[in-house]
Amino acid sequence: MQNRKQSLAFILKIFAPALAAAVCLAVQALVPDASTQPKAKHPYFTYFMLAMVALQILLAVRALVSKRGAQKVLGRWAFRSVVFLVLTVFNYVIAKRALFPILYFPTYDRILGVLVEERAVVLKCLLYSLRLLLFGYFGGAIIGFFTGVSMGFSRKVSYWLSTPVHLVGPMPSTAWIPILLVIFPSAFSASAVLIGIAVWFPVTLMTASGISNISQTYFDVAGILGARRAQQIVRVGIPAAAPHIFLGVFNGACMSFITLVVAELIGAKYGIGWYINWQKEMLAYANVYAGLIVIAIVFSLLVTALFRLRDVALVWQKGVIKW
Amino acid sequence: MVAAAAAGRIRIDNITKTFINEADANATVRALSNVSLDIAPGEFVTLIGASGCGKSTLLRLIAGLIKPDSGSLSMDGEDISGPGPERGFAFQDHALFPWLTIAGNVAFGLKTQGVYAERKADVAHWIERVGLKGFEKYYPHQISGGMCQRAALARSLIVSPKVLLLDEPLGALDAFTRMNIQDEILKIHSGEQTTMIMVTHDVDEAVYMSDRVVVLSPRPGRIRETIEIDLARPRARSSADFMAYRKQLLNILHLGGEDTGADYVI
Ligand SMILES: Nc1ncnc2c1ncn2[C@@H]1O[C@H](COP(=O)(O)OP(=O)(O)O)[C@@H](O)[C@H]1O
Ligand SMILES: [Mg+2]
Repeated sequence: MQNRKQSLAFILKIFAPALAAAVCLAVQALVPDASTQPKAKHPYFTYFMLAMVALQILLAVRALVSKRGAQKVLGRWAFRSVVFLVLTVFNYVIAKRALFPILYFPTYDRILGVLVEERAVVLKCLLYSLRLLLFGYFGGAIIGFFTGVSMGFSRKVSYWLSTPVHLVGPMPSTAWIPILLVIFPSAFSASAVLIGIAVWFPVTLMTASGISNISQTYFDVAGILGARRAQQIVRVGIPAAAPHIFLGVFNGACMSFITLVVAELIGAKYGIGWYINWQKEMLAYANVYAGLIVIAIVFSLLVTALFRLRDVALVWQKGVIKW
Repeated sequence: MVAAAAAGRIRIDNITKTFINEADANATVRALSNVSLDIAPGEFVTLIGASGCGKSTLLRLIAGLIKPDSGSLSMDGEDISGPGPERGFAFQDHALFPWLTIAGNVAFGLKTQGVYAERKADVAHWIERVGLKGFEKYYPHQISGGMCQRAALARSLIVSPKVLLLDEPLGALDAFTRMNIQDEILKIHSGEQTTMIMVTHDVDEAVYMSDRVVVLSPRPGRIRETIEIDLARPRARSSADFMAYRKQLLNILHLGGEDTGADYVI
């Protein structure tokens, strides 16, 4: 056994998240909710924290036996512990003491309860939103990519398009709704276009600027090696600008989620954004938070996927470009 | 190889090139003025001279990357109208594509010409020839500057250029790596009979490598003097004759000794 592994500080760090989770669980299970807070059908948050404590203990034990596991826990121990402590404080203030208006601050039990008890509706909404995001996001990103590439490579296109792009891009999405509703036949297409515009702008901007920042030398080299115009675009311009394009695609992902709630204001039948809007009007804030949690989870999955993709597609820029 | 040696003649006839200063449109820089130069197939010519005397401009003109204001450039009797694989170019900062591996960089010219499938083996051949076997899958930022420069040479040479233009390709390397790659370039020069036109700031390098050294002077850039280096190859860097050429060049460049009234600085 190494010295370091036996040291008290190491053990404390390894077990800190589990300890914090246990504190959170204890407060949740032992302190009764304020009597004014409506009761949930089941103590869902207690179940959730039980699972969390178990998970953190598992991670800690793995850290004791494996070096990689230790590195992973050591890298995140403080953040994880603080998350559980913050959850504890909120839980205490909101559920246990009801210090805030209970209408807007429901208990964790009720929020999780929505995800469990109304999972059919929530899932359906999620699928509707994913369909909308799929069309809007990919449509906007692809069109943005081509707009950016043509602006980056053609002075003429850049001359005509850069002003319109800069005018249209920053317009708030709500301003588009009436126009889109007139132009597009269905609520779905109008919503998809709304998201598309929000994604298109950062992708266009970053692609065009990425291409115009490429060193002329690369194009010279390509020309000397016999690359024609099309090859210069495909073999030099796009790969060289790929890190910028990725940033655009990434910003676009953020924009698409921000726009989702607005997009689903337009005559949507289902959708997480629609669900949030609807529940907000009903003052069912537990449901609103549940909807937000779903959006957050889906978004972080997408972001993780994008970063994985970047790590594979853009290995070369490790050590070349800092993120 | 005899047939290859018959090609790669460069003829530069009375060219002038002026640049317009980007910051001040009224200020123009006359980079080259009335430059004429004939380079024989398979010859190794070095351009030497102060910074800003138009050496890079001359190479870029020969490459076809820019056009002269007046005068003409031709290769094997045909006017040079644009860049192409028959005239390779090695840049000082190697200019490898950072998004491609060493093998990808070396294969680039084959791919753009659509001959990669049938000439795949050439990639391995050239990588081995420049001493980079085993580094095929590395990215440029993972290997040293000298190795990058070798890879850049392989990338230029794989498309069998008749002329190779070298713009201070070894300028950023340490002395040891430099001498190593100098020999490597000379080996390729004698093996492939490629015409080579190289810019350098290093008098030793010029004497060691060239058949002919062309000294340029600045503002406006023009040819000041041409020296034939009549030494058998391989050359000994410390022989008396070598030293004599070295001294002669330094004198022309006003770096030779007591006459330090240099009107320009290298
Ligand atoms: N693209 C350009 N635009 C404006 N001036 C240039 C350009 N390229 C070269 N020059 C000018 O032409 C002169 C010769 O440059 P260059 O050929 O690079 O010199 P060298 O390679 O001998 O140092 C310099 O004064 C330089 O500033
Ligand atoms: Mg130069």
